Amino acid sequence: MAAGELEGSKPLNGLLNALAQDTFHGHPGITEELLRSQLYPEVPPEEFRPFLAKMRGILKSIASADMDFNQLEAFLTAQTKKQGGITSDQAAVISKFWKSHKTKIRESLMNQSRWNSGLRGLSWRVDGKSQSRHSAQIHTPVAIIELELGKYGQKSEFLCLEFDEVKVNQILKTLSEVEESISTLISQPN
Amino acid sequence: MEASSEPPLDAKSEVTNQLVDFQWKLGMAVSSDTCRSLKYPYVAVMLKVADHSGQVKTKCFEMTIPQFQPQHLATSSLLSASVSLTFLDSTISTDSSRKLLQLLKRCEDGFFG
Repeated sequence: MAAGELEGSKPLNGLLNALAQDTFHGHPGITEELLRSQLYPEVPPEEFRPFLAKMRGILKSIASADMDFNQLEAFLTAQTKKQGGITSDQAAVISKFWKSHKTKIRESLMNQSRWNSGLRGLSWRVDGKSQSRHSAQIHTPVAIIELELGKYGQKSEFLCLEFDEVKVNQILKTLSEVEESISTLISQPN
Repeated sequence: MEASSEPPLDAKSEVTNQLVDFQWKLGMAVSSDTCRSLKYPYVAVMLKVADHSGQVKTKCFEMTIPQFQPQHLATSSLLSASVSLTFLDSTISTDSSRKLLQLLKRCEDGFFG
């Protein structure tokens, strides 16, 4: 029995989920044999392999082009008309899957293509720094800011910075300059 | 190590550094080998930090655009830290009060977006 004829939507939806986990979200341990035995146990391996490759290829194409719904429909329709393509039932399952997973997959693709560290988190505390009791200046407030940085798939590293009020406001000023640049970029026609 | 009465920061980083320089650039990732149509803007940041011995290190990282929205951790944390610093000032002058009110107003107006 051909994999394509086995359709209820559940196995294909499960397959697409697993493919997304493997291809985009970096989930380890998703093998061809695992997928076949769990989702398509009646399909022989030599038949499952090309089927899996076809589905993976379709998902990758859709994700790579970040297809909107019009492009998606056109693309899937073309796939149904191809020799050795997909059935219209399969097209419907793929379409539904992309619509609900598009944002997450896109986010993973963005993370994968960022080769620098990303800012994963920021925490802070304020210390009332006391100088020596003999010093005239006591109780200088100091902000300790901890940046959590990390590259895709790697452990976080932490950077601890000390700021007085002047410095914090300088940073805020710089951030608002960045914000202005962002607004300008976004408001410009492409 | 003696017990501290302050709530500890995660002991992950025990050395505090001074910020020497903060450079930034706004970029747009257009396309990549795994994704032909990326199209996302990002902010690349380069920090120069000096530790207690004066040794200067460079740290580079990227921030996403949502991280500049006031609801997000990054900007709202910095704003909160700034407000806290001003409160802690043992003599809150008229100048500081005015600054504080301005900051609070900016939060309300959603200055950052």
